[in-house]
Amino acid sequence: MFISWNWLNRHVDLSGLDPHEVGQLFTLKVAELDGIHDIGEGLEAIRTVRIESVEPVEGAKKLSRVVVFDGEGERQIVCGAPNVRAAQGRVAVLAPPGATLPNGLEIREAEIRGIASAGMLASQKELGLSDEHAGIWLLNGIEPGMSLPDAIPVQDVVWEVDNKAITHRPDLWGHYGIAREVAVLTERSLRPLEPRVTLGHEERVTVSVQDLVRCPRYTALLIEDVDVKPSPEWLQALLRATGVRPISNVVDLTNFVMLDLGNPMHAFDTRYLATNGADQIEITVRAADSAESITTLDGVIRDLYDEDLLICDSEKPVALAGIMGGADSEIRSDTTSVLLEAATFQSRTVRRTSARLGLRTDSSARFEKTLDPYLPEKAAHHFCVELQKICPKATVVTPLVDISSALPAPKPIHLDPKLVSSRLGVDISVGHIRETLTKLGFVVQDRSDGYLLVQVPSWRATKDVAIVEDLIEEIGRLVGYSNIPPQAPSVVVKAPELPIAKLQERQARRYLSFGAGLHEVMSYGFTWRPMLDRLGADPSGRIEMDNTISAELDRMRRFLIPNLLNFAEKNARYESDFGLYEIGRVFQPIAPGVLPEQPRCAGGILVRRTDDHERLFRELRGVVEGLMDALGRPAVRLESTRGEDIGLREAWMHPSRSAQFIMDVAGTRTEVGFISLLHPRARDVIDTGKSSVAFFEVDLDLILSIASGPQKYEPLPKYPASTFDVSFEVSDTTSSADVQAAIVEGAGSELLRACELFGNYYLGDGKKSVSFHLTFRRDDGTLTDEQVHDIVNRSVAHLSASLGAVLRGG
Amino acid sequence: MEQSQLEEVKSAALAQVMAAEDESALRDAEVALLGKKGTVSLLSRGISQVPPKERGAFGRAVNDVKKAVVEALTHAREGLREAAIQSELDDRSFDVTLPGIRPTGGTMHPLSQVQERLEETFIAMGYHVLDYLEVEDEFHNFEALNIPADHPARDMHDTFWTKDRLLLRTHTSPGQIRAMRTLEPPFRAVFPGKVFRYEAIDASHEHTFHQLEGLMIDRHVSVAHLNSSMQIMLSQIFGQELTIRLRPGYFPFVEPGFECDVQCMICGGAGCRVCKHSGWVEFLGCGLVHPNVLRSAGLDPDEWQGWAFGLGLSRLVMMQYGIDDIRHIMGGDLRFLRQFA
Ligand SMILES: [Zn+2]
Repeated sequence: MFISWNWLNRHVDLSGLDPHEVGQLFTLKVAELDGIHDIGEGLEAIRTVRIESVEPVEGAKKLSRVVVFDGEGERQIVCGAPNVRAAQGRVAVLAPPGATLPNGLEIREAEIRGIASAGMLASQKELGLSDEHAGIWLLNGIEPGMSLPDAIPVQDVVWEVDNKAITHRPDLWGHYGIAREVAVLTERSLRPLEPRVTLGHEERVTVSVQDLVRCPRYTALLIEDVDVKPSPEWLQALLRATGVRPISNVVDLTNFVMLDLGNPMHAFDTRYLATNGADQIEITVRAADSAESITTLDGVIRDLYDEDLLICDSEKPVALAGIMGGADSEIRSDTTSVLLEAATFQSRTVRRTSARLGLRTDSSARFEKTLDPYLPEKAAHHFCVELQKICPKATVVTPLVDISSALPAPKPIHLDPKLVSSRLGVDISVGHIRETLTKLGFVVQDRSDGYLLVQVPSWRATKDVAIVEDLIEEIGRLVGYSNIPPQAPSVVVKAPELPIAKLQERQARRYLSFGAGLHEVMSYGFTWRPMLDRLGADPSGRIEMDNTISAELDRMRRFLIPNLLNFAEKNARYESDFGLYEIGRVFQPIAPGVLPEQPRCAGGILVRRTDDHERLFRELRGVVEGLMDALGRPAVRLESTRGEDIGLREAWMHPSRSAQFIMDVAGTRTEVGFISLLHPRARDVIDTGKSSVAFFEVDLDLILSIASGPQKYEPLPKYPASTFDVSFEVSDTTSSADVQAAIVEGAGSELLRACELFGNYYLGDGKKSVSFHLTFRRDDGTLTDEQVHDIVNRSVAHLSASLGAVLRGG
Repeated sequence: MEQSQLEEVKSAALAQVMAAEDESALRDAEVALLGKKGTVSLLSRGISQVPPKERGAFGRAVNDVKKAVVEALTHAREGLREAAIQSELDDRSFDVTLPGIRPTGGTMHPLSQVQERLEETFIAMGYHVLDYLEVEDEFHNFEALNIPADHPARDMHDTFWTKDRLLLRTHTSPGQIRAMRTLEPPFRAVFPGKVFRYEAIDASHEHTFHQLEGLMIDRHVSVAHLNSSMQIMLSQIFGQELTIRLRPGYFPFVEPGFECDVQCMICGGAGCRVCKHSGWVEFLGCGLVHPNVLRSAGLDPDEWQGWAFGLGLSRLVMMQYGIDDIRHIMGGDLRFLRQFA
């Protein structure tokens, strides 16, 4: 919202003060200003001139030869604006040679089409006053021969108030309310509003409000003999400074009052309002019918619902309450009779309708803050007083028809002055509290028990000040928070529990980045839909969004991998060997309306320039094993899923080149993650160049929910170990894990301390060779070769019998 | 064998040693002289032709020759080694400017780095560090935080809704309610995390970004405490003593509410481009916890009070590294990520 310094001066004499300094004070004590803008500076050289004659320039359709009177004499100007043609006798603004416009343009004597031109007739935009550039600026009621700033108060300082900072302050949505604060800040006095207008007695307007909750107050009056014309320049200047385009005096004044007092108003041309037999306008405020529609001022037909509130005459809706008037009854240049509305509407009603229709107006923005129900009457008088100043014939012919619910009585708050000091943490005297609140319009009474009885003024009482804490804020901000010395809080004695989950997440991150050499990424909580579609994945089982920034982000992620695949593909344009990982929450729906499971997961992806998929798989498996070590070695095991139909149902997982990570959680075999190559069909659509892709994802919350036992030290061996290497030929569908298990089982001896795979070669014809490195050791002596051979022989025999393995060497 | 012959062998042997120009020539000489069939080794055989009473003297003479040769070899070796060392020391061809060859290392996301550093700071100051849900309900995200339905403050929180009327938290503040309901007061806690706003993205707007929320609950909490806590906390975060200021700010879940500004670290408050010539940089929102919020979290406002703050982690990361486009944070581009090893 824009606040004009000139406008503030109508309410409080700020002469001698620096608008920038007062603006700083306002930011520190009231609400943030997003900016302070000086406007209309450097226009002293610009002069008002009267257009004496306009002639077309031969051979140049768009140009006119204009003779103007500049207060001293005539000069000739060549002008290209179309509106100059009909402007004979009007006053315009001239930038004479030597003047510099705000956009940097320097005006010089010129000759155009052989005609001398002594300056330029300017538009508002060229003068930096508005965006208006349809033609030259034509003034009303201004004499020629004046310097522009002398003729019109174009020079101003505009505060840009951060609307968010005054969400809770309906009183600050107008200049009068801002002036009230500024008066307190600058210790100057606020002028009371001007006296009331003389009302009429004709009973030509009736008002009926069907729902006083949604329309707590509706006032209306009828004005006759209105002469609709452009507003005086001072008013136009104020409106322009605050970003409002001047239209005509009546419309401008409704805006003026809204920007001044904060109460939106509406003016109807009575020619378009139905009257009854007694020549009365019957206004009804009622809920809309869902079959109804209204064409609003902006020319759009709006379908209505029963949650909408309408202003109707005896036949039809004429305005959408608190949001926008109807197109038919808008003020036109020949309007002479005006019905003026000043009302208060329920914030929720206005908010809902304006949100549903996507129709946010200056009016709805104010009503949805819950306005002071005492304001409409003041606004109506304010409008009429100002109207009569610029349109003296205008007469209010009716009383102020005023329908309202019982207006709320001032709300008293019992304030313990000691609490103010205690909450602010600095001593504030009762006198200071009383004085501060009184300046802001609160009525403060002392009570015998030491409390203060504080009555909240109506303009602060709607949604703003209701409890003691609100009063403390009022006092605190005016005392100035920088005047409250910092004071260290008392120490919390209890030490916090160590954030184990956080620390483990950190371990995981350190390992994955610096141990496994992957790069951490962060991706959206949404799943990137085009990726799912390309992968041929079924999007179900993912939380669906009701509103989306784009159709591509219409569901929450259930797995981290698709987003990682998206990143992998992007990066594969530049690199062929890399790994990415993410630690983040995924979302598993439970039931509609119930918060989903949202475990923290770690997902990783390896992109390697290799065709050796088994090697790639092993590399990634090693990464996960290392991750488990970093997490304190929880009892997670890998289960091969080959040929089995298990939990891996996503289309991008490889059914025969994947495995699950399994853990026993409370005695139940629980899947805590998976590792997989990309499904061959997905491989065909994901472009990672010549690189292959493998990925894993594990549920950190599940894994960390099971405390891993403390790690125990093992004494160092006293006697040397014996080693023995064996190779077997087995069927290539036999897993190395099965061979290893059979070796250990066949050995049946605790002397076999380790059995590690060191070779796995495919021999063709459905055969492969697997080689193991066996380590034997006694704790109480040295093993003999014979003992080792005995054990190995038992294993070999067992393998032969159970797996049909043939010993190839050893 | 005559003494003169011995001398002859000896001088020939020493000459051979002296002639060796490198270690392999020296080794050849050693074998030729002292090997099994080496000329010096063979000298001992001549003892059989020496009369018995001269054998003692002959033996000594042969040993002297051997000793002289061994010494010469040792000396030659030392000389060669010394020459080699000197030559390496004199060598100017070694190029120390060749690029390092790194072990394959990954990177941590800059946001994680900043977040972890903040968490460490808070842990050291006695805070719990907690992590809360991202899909939230209306109660925790709005109602319990004193933002009822149709409250205009909801406009500041353009919200992502799910089809079943849950929402993506628009701020980390729902954590306040969850923390107050689970932790035994008094306590201090921070909860960083992802938040979501329903808005189009550009270089300075993201629908997904990160915040860090803090909450302290105690029996007596004042604006003066808040002021001090923010000053200490921000000084810790930036690793230097900072000047802060509080000014009115509106957040429905605190009363009074503040914007907390930090005196510009670039210009020290004199005014520069970064602080838009104001000398101050808006850094976080904070305030005393609103009694309605305490009540909805099950705490009695007459017994417990608190302060809360919320700061933009993504913004802090951007400030810290001078990142000019917020989209990089969630962009997954290695060319960006590799810069933060
Ligand atoms: Zn600065």
